[in-house]
Amino acid sequence: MHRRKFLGLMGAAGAGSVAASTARAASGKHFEGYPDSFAVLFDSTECIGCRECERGCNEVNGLDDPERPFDDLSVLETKRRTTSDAYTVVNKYDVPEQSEPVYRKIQCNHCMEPACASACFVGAFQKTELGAVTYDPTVCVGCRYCMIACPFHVPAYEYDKALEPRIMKCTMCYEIRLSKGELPGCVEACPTEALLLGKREQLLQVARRKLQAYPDRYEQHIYGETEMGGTNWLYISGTPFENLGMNTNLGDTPAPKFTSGALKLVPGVVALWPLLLGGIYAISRRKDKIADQEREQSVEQAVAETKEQARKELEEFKDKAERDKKKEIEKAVQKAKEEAEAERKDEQGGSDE
Amino acid sequence: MDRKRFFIILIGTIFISSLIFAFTATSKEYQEQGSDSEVGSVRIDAISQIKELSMPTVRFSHDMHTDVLEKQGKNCQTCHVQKEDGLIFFYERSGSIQDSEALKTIYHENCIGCHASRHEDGASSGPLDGECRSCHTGNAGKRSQSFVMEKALHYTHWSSEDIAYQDAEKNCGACHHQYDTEREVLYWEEGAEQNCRYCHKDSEQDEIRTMRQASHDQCVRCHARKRDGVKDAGESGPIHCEGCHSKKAKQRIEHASRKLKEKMGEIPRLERGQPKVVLMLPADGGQNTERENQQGGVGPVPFDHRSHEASMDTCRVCHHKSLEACSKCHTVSGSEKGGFVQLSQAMHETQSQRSCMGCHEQEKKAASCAGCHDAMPAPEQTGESEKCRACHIQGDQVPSVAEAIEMNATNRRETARLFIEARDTTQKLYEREDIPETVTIDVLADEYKAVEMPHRQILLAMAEDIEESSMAGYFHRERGTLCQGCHHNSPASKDPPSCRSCHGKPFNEKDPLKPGLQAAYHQQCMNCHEAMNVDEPANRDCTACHEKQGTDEAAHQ
Repeated sequence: MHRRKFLGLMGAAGAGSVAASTARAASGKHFEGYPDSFAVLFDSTECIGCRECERGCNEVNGLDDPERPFDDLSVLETKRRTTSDAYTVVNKYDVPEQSEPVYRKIQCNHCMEPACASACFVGAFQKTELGAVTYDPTVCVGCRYCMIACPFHVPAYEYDKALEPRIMKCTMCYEIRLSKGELPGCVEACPTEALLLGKREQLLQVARRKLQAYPDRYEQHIYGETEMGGTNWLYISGTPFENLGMNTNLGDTPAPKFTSGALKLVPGVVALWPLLLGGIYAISRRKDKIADQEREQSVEQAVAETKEQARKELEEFKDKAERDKKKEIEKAVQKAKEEAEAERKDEQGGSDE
Repeated sequence: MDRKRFFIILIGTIFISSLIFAFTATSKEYQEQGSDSEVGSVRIDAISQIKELSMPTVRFSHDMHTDVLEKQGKNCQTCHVQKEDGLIFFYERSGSIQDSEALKTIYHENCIGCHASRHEDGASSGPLDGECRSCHTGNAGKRSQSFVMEKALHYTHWSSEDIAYQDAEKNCGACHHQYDTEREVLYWEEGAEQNCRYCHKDSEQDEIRTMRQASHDQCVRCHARKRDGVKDAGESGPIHCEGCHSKKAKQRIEHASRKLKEKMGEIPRLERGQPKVVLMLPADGGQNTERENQQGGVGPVPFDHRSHEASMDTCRVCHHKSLEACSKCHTVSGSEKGGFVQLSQAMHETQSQRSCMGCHEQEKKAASCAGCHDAMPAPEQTGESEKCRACHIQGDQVPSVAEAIEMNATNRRETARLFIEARDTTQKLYEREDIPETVTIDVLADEYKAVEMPHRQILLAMAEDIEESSMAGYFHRERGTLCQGCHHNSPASKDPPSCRSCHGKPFNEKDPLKPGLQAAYHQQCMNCHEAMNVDEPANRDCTACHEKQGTDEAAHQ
């Protein structure tokens, strides 16, 4: 295909996507979460960084023993992230103008509209009605798109497994506990109730009441209320959330909305592109045909012209030949006449002698 | 051939590295110069008020120059202009100049001029012409301590014989003044002294000098008299920046204040005819009768002005605009003069540091109070409650607001005095034997053994911390009030309910504001320890409070 034709196609596709995005902006629907979904409220002012939640999670989920035991608090000196062996980790943050460090628990935030689920093309992730985002390893193909999609960098991969490696992340203990009416492992293990489980709507009320009752103790924001369209893990803190290594620039748009515009185009592309490409092909075919015809015509003309010229040349040649012939004949006749005349003169002279 | 090349490279390397070394060495020298001048240096950026600076600001070591000039037998007039009876604390000019070029010339010609003349004499000197960045370092330096003329320091000034003012009993007039706009002179009026900042603002307004200029002109000029050889100058205060604006100076002042208090029992008041007691009324002179009646129901407040003076450094803590009664500006229904802050807001706004309740809230953040008070929700001001009665008195003996308005000032003060004198500001506590010595917490003993909590020791330690505080003594109104710090949400009594009577269930998601028993214990103990700066036992040292189960058996085996 020629470069110019390719650019033409791209232009046509672009016009299509612009039309699609304006259509999307017109719909203002926002998913408010399942009405009775559960959530966990983390209060960093109550967290003492004892790592009991890590132990609770590890035991309940039957994960491998960690390299260093849970009561080894020197682990907190380095910033950690979730791994395939640890669905949750607690990190320590030194906050400016505060003598005591602050701790934050990291785990899956169970987005109301999960980015991982929208990125997964086999549907291995599911947002359950209880609020938990669960994972089905039987359909997972190991593409790890979810790891790239997650705005909180939570899913981890079993890189050390040669056979059937899985994505590992917190499931809010959905199957083993939550769906049976029990508390998630971390929540139950917390000795200070820095983690509270409850209905999301109710926990938001609790958080708001705490912020109101202790205006000097808390930052007046509930992290997770609107971040990435809202999450089922909520945070309140006595220090700005940036100080706890949390991304406060995520905006309140759910992750799937960022891709839905582009993805909506796919059916359109499937339906329209054959037509578009067919049309362009037809146009180019017709152009080729006309060109062919013109070429044939010009050849014919050229051939005709050549023939005509050849005929003319031939005729001229014939004329000339005829003329030459005549001349020759005339010459011969003349010569014959002269000879005859000379003979006749000779005969006359001899007789005279 | 190879050898030749090797030497060229070697020499090149040495040359380049020596260059780098030279540069880093120079810049280090500058840094050291900069960090030296913490206090005792002045940032010169006068031109920044007029236009954007084309060069970094200058960090000028003022104290160093003061010392050097003194050694040379020179005085402040070397750099500062003498005017009438004093010096002007601008550099080489008698007032603020709004011409950037003129300012530049003043600094360059005089600074470099002086340096150059010393250089010619062969003496050590400061930077010379062309060494721009030796002065223009752009080093902002550390912010110096703001200076507070607190009561003890005030006393040494108004009682000093060295600065006696006319024949007055106190030396107030030596510093305080009023301005007569008609005669255009400063004069002193006894009892009308104000805080300097009421007129001298942070920026120049109505041709009134800034606080910075006024205070330096006034204080340093007077302090420098002794050094300048004025007769009968007597003892004198600091003339170096460090003398007032360093941490050391602050500590010195605090120390002197403590000494004075020990010596005299109480630091003398700053008398200017202010009342010792006030009967505060939700009224501003009968302008808003309807509202007054509405709010009058809560009763008047006998206010101990004298004891509040004693616990504040300056009058400005409360009287932020002028030394008048609050209701002069903050009227019952709000006025433009008072920024539309109503009288009730001016008294009760918890977010303000100047209101009664705001300041009391602030006081509760002290370590000795925060253990209990941090855990208490912010006070709500909806409707009347028993808590209002701590300030707003009520009863048969108490005049109603309407009656109090009718009284003359003397009677009103007399009423206030009676009620204030009747106040009990001593600490109230149950008898020692009535306080359980230890409390065994064993209901949750499982992974860990029971806790033997030294209940009495904790309570008495807390009580000792606030024994001296009349504020705590007064507001902790019952013998059981201190107990309520932990035994909260129940009336004060000798036998308050135990923790588990409310926090019975381990965790109840239907009532998530009420922690479960385990969390209730941990939150209460740990948050209190943190707020009161109690380092032992540490939050995460589990066995410091409760031994791990099975440790005994392990030891026996």
